[in-house]
Amino acid sequence: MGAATRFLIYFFLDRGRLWPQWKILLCINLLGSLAIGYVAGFMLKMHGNYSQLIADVMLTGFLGGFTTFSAFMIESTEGLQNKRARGAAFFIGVSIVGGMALAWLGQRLSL
Amino acid sequence: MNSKSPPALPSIWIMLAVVFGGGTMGTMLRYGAGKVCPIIQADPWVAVLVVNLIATFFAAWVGRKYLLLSSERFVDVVDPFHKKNPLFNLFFVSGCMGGLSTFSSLSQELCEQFSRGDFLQFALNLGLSLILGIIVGALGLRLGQATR
Repeated sequence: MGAATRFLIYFFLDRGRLWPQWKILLCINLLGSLAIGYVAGFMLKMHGNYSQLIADVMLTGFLGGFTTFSAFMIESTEGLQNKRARGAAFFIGVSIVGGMALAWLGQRLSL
Repeated sequence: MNSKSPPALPSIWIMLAVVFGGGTMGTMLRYGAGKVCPIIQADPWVAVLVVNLIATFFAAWVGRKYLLLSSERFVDVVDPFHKKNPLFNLFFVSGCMGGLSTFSSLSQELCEQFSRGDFLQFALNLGLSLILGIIVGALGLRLGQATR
């Protein structure tokens, strides 16, 4: 489900030439980071009173498949190889710092 | 540099089904890797690191191998549409490898490691993910170019 949802977002934004690919990828990964923080925080709040199956399906299944590290790394490597080092560094920095900050924010929002 | 237009794409429903199938396979493999960690007494972040690196290598290899270069615009390797065989790429690269690798779990783990003051593990996780990710990505791209 996660990979299919990612594809649908990608398909409509890319085919409509609305956004460049790196921006779509960045938004998907940041949105997924916010969501995983929220779900993880919610599970903490429940003190173990939740189904492990639902947790696995939501965290590992949906959100894990929705976001992608491989495309993030390939985009970054291509950027570095094509002398777009500044752009690649910006992409990596915003992805990592933004991903961590949004995972933290998601957790705070759920508590 | 071959400048070809991409082949006609199948319907959105077929593409969606193919990505769904590949994504399910990739996600199940990642889930299995997570279950192996307690058996070999490794931290869960190690499983995420390993599957992320494996997926990056194969996605870069296959993505570059079948890439059609467009005269209209710069085409990224991760573009699933400008390919010699878009359905296979949708299944393998967008589905399987996209589903096998995960960014959200990495963000969550980095955030937790930082929050609990485990800076050594945080630095190892971040450094290894980025440095090895770029190295295996570059190796995959080079292999993809060599086997075109």
